[in-house]
Amino acid sequence: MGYTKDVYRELEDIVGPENISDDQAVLDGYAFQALDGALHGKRFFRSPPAVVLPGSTKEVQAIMKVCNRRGIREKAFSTGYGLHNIVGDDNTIILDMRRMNRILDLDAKNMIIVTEPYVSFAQVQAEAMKVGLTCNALGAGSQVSYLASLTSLHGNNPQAVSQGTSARNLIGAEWVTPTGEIIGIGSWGQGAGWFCADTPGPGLRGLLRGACGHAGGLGVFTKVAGHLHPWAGPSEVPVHGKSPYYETELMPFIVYHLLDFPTWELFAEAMRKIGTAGIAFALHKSGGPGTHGQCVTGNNNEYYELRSKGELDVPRKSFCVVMVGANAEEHAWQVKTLDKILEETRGSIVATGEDEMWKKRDLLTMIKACFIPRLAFRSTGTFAVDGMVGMDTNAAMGLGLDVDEKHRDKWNEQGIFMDDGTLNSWSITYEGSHLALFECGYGYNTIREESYTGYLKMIDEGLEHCFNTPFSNSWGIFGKDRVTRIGEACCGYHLWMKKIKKAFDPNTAADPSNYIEAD
Amino acid sequence: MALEDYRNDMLRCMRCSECKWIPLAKISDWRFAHQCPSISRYNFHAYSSGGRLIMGLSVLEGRMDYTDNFLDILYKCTMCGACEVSCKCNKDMENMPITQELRIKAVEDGELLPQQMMVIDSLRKEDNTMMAKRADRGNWAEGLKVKNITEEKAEVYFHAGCRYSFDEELWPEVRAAVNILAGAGVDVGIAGKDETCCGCRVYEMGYLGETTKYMENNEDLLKNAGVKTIVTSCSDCYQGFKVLYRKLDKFPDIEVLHITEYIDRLIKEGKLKLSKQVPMKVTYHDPCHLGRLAEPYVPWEGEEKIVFKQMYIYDPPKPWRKGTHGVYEIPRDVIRAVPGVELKEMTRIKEYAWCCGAGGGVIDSYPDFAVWTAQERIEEAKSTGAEALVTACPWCKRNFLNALKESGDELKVLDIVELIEQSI
Repeated sequence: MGYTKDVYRELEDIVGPENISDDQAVLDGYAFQALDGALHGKRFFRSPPAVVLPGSTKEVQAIMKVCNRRGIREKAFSTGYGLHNIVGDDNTIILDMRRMNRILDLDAKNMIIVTEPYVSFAQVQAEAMKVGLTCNALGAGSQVSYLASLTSLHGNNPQAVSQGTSARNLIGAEWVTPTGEIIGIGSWGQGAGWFCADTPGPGLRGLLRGACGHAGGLGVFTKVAGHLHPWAGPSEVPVHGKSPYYETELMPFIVYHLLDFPTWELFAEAMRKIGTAGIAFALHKSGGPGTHGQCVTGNNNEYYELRSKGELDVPRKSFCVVMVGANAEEHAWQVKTLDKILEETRGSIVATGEDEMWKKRDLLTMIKACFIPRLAFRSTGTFAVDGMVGMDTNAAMGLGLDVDEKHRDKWNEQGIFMDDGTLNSWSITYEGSHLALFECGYGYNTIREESYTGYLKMIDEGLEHCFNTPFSNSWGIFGKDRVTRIGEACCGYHLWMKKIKKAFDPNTAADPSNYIEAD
Repeated sequence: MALEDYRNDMLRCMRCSECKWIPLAKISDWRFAHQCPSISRYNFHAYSSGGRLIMGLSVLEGRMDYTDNFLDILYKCTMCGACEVSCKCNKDMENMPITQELRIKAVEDGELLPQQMMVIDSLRKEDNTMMAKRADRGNWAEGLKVKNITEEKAEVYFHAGCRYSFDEELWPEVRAAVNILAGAGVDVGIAGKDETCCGCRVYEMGYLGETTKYMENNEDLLKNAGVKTIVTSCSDCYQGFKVLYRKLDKFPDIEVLHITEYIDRLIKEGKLKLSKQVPMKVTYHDPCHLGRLAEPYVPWEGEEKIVFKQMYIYDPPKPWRKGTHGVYEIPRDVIRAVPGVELKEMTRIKEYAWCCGAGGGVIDSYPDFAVWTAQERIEEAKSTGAEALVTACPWCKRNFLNALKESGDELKVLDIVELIEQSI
């Protein structure tokens, strides 16, 4: 049992010769992972024995049956962006979902969109805005898969303050389980349409997602119904200028500010109040010049020049907020409420964010998530979370940022990552301020050994902070060992993951390497 | 620059897939959000710009040797440069030059794509890429009252290019271009049968030696003729004269203009009057070689420097080619100058226009892929409600005509020159 040329021929019969390959020229595209891979000083990891491009749910089901019958494994992905997309062993094939790339339905009245796996956030948002809606444009960039975020990973973003995170936007899914069954989740599972996530069909949403998604370890999702949200702005966000200086307009009833606070406690309190009041469309901790300053400049040299003059300075304990009012009355209420919150938390509006150019460019990415690759990659090649990440309460977020500030300053002395002059972490509140995220990441140099090896050590230390604090749902932690450690610290959820894996994947046909093994 | 010189760029690819989409800020429609014909048609990651960058690194690291499939992936790319625009919007790294260098390396290593050999043989034997006889090169101009710059002096040299010289169906456009210039009093000359290929298309196939040879031929021709300005209706040739020759650092400082730029000049100087109504809704397709690839070449030599502990910059600052300084407004100005014409824009325009599918040798090597790519553009053109798809390059027009013939779709395809001719 295992992958052989006979398996290839069986798969070829399913998808056709044009949609399968075992040629090294193709396979290397799936062995290469630089995001987090660069930390290890290399780019190429394990090659899958073959890559398959299924074109329908039926084909996915047939492939899954081959996997069970032949004792091989599969790993499905869409954009395939990050080290967790590497296969776990030599018998795991990759299902690249690119051919399933349609928007199947947009139900504006019920604020639901149904898509196949290879539809991006940018595409969903563009169509949604035409009918006065929008989606939670992801913090990983709007080029990534809408479905993958909702069904299989965790995604946070500036708009989580008004729209929640990935888990909350999943209304229904078509799931090809590791044994090859096709299961409809939510009301769709009962043939009642895509309107409800948990009833009257089986409420499997929490089960399949677990804490932070299964990262391809629990079968394949072939359709998703996602929750759209009201958008009071224009049906197409105006974008002017030439690349890379795209910018939007200052639009009526849309407000952007960069806010500063004297302590982490007041910072977290202001976020909580804004979330509770429900006045924000988007909100994001402003990393230092390393993030938002990159956003408003066209290349690294320009950034270097401006920051050297002090023009891109951003305070450490600051965040950006975007408010979108449906009309003059709502706009006035939002502005008044924000003023009151700032008064109560001793916050202030930072002049840098009031610059018209800054405002037009940063506002654009707060709405469209269009400059994310710039923020994350341009300055040093890439970034990595320094081990410190958590989704917990607003208070825990403040604590996490406080811990990370010391962590960051200690490692900054060694010069292993880009010194942006501030605390380049992200944070946001969501679910009406019941929950909050902090994610601390810095730009390390992917070419220079001193940087990536040093940063790996910094991550190990950060993880210890994280495991020992602990922050619940510390997402982005992949693999059995780390999942077990954080699971032990957080209610033993890894034990439930094992049970779920065993029940739904008795033959381990879905690659468990970045999820969990049943034992 | 050799492939090795781009190692750091390859190492900086994060496989984010941005190269597959139009710039994210500009996505406004689900249907027309994709940017790269190759990955859109063939789907495996290797067919994206990021995928070819991985192939380049794989070659450098000795992981991969040439195979038929390797060459297939390498050459199923129209070299349209759209990936560069999207990637460089957000990152400081080279992108498309890596595919170019991989092609040059493949040719240097003797790994030739069989489908290209007829084109290359034709070039070597007959000085054109059209598998036609050298002696027939000037036939397109038969009967035109125009100087020959090999016999008498002219201020402006009109270069027809291989496609216009040998594609008879397109001769009316190229003849019209010369007539428009001459009619406006321009002292224009052609080279007739002595004209040779510009070498631009074979450069994109990886044949650097041939390109250099034809660049030198053209340099000699123009020096001897003493012309001040080169004008061409072919966007490929335009990019060759204006950008590629300067990149290869051997071309004299002669003004290079596309026919649309010269016509625009004539209109604005009052030397060309457009008076007849041409009542038509049209949409404009930006040829890649007139648009993003025509951005002027600025030489740069320098090195990476580390600042702020681990951030990289370039010393001196690098003049990034982001595709935004191509010729975009002038063709539109010319179209708008035609009385009665209504210009309806497509979703993917200017620096993020979808390619016609003819470039990079694809029209010769993979005609089915070329047609597929053109059909995608025709769908976009039809979505505007336009009656005609207007372009400014014979390669685009030829490929659109091929696609329409295959699909049976009803849509006019016009060169801008044809619109002008109808309006005079």
